[in-house]
Amino acid sequence: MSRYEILSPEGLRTDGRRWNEMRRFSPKMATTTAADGSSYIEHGNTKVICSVNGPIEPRASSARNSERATITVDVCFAAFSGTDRKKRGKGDKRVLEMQSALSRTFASTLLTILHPRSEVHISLHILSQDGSILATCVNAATLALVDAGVPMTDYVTACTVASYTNPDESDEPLLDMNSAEEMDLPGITLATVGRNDKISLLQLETKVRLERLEGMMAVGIDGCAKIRQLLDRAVRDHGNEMARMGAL
Amino acid sequence: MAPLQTSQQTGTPLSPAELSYLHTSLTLTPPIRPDSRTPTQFRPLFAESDILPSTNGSARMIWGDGGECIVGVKAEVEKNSISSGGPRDWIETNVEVSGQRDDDAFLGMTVAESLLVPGSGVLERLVLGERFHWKIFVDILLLTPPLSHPATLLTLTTYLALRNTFLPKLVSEAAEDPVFDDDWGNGLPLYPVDRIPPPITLLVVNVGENIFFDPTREELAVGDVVLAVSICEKKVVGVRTLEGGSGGVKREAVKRVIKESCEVAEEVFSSLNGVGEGD
Amino acid sequence: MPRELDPTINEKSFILDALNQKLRIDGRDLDVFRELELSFGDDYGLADVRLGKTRVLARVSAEVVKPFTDRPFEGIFTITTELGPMASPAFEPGRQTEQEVLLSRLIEKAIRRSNALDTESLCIVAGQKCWQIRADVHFLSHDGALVDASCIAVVAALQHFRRPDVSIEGEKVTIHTMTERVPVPLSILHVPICVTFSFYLDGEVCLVDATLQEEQLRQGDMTITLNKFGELCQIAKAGGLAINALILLRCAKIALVKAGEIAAIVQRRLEEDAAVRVRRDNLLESKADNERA
Repeated sequence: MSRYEILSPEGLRTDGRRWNEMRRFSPKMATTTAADGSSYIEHGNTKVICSVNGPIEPRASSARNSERATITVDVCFAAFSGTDRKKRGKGDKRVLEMQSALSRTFASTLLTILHPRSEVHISLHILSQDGSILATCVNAATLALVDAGVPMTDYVTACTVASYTNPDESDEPLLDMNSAEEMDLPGITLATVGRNDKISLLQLETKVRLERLEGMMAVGIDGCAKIRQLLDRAVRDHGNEMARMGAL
Repeated sequence: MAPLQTSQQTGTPLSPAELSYLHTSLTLTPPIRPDSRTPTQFRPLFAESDILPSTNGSARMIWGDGGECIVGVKAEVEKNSISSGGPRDWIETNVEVSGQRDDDAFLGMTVAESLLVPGSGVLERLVLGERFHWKIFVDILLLTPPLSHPATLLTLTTYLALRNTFLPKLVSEAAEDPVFDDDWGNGLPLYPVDRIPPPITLLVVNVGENIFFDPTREELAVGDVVLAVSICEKKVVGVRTLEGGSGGVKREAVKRVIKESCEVAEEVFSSLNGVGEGD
Repeated sequence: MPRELDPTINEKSFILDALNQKLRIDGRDLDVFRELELSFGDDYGLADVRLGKTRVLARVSAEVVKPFTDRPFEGIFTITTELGPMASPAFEPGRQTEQEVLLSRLIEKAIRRSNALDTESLCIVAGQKCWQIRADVHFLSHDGALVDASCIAVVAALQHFRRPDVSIEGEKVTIHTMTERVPVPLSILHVPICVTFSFYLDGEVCLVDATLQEEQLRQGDMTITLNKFGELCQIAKAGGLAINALILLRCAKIALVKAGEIAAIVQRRLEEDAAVRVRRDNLLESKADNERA
């Protein structure tokens, strides 16, 4: 067992949350003028900045598809984002895997068919890591894509769920893992599209009993719905602000 | 003489006629800048500090033309034997430009060199007993490069981050392995208020008899000479000419640049030091 | 850059129409694997997997090295995969494509990170000597389901492999040759099996073990790795068509059944191979020219 308890007997986690509580989630939209769309999300201590350019003319000819727009994703871990300073090269397999997962997630949600022979470029910078990084990247990219006005069918939102084993061997799902929980517990990252809660991304990287998957997914789908509400509110607030400033 | 440059050479979308017009209006007394700023006025900028809890010091700055820069400073304990280059290696600077494959080594060096101003005493503050020292990593992330030269943006953000960098207090003896105070409230600033602060670099462009601070891309294109002036506290510690510009520089102009830079820098310092105190 | 030839419009509509009627063009049911052929080489640790026209070869080898300084009590286990032009003309040698990175990450997560191989058992002298087990995956022919086939190949080869025995007397480490002492099998903690599902027609139809053509036409995919104890080792559904959670859970249940079946086939083939080896060894020993002690 680990040195400290992930879940206290009173049902509180190391940071004082209950099993179904998320960390503070603060989304910001249109953070920079230099890109077509941008966003900044703080989810607890995980902080991700995202900018979207597009649809633009493809920068590389390999990104040109005569039927639909291509979605390219750059994920960058800032050297100071973790506990120890660490530089990640561009060729890091984990980063490449994240980029591919993000690009494929949005390829099925954006109406890429409306912009053939063009590219939508999503650039993500992770400034601070404290668990749920892929999920926060998905949320940040969604918000930036909305800001950029790229046509899409619905919000894509993501969250993580851990599976905690009680001392009596029963299991308990924990919504929204921080890095300590990610280290010690198995967990899934899950992204849903829109209101009908269909799952576009599902990742599990550690061993867990098959029976627990259903419970984790149910909690995750609720978490994604909650994040969708928060993102939707951010978008509406931003729209109202724009209208008030006379931009519309 | 109006500069004979075309838009291809300067990277601005202006025609030779427009460039000539701009040049003329900048040489008037008093000069007229396209955005009606006074010669020493800066474009609006947004700055915040202490944004990242996982760093020892951090800052974010957004420049008027959309340039955005984030700096994170991290300190790690290192054995003296590891750095072969001696104390000069104790501060490492990296500049990462978003969308570029490799780090910008030239910009990194420019910033790193200016940090090691002799007499600033910063290296002495990194010593931890007899066998260890702090190694400072200054990682500069240029999210969107500004349209004009990035030097000012980089150094101002770095200044802000370093000014807000705190190191845990050493509680062990000199001969022991270092042990630190757990209380962040007792942390020691890397650059205490009463000591020489980190330097900043201002960009100045000279057109005819006039000099302008914080030039835009178009102003850089018609400038006679572009100077990067590094200022530390109240002293100018370095003046370099940057490529671009179309003529030489008069001695009087340099004198005026230095004099006015000090005055402008003082205002910049005082406003930057105000960042983070308000909240 | 060479590309895989896309199915023609006729082929595409034919296959999708058939799938709409729950029919596959090779006559299989939707949740049936192609016939799995598994054979072993003369040496230990060589497994040859055929899944229909897909063929994957895995070779396991061992070497004595110094362990990583941060893990002095563990041996080293690496899996290397390279998609070469032998499998399909669409693959270029030397250049790591996105597909290859994803494939190697998946196998890595499925087998290495799920601790299928007990790396602590590979330690010889803590901090100084340990076994490095290396699994090289070669793709000989590509007709879909590369992940599933290579996972089977690696776990089969790992179970088939025997490493030389080691004895330690004080400071002295002796590695005995294969003829000197009976070589020892690796300590395998569990046998993970990958099952890849392909989704069509907005999730109405999901196939297991898709052929290359079916893979090219799919709207989304998901790879589930689990073992016969019902432990999930890894799930990767990286984007693609959004699918209802209930369908995904049904897939996971199907995958559990399939993993059990495949693991049983692997087990049976391993036993058959062991039996053949015993017979052959006995034959060798009873030969007239065999030196008798």
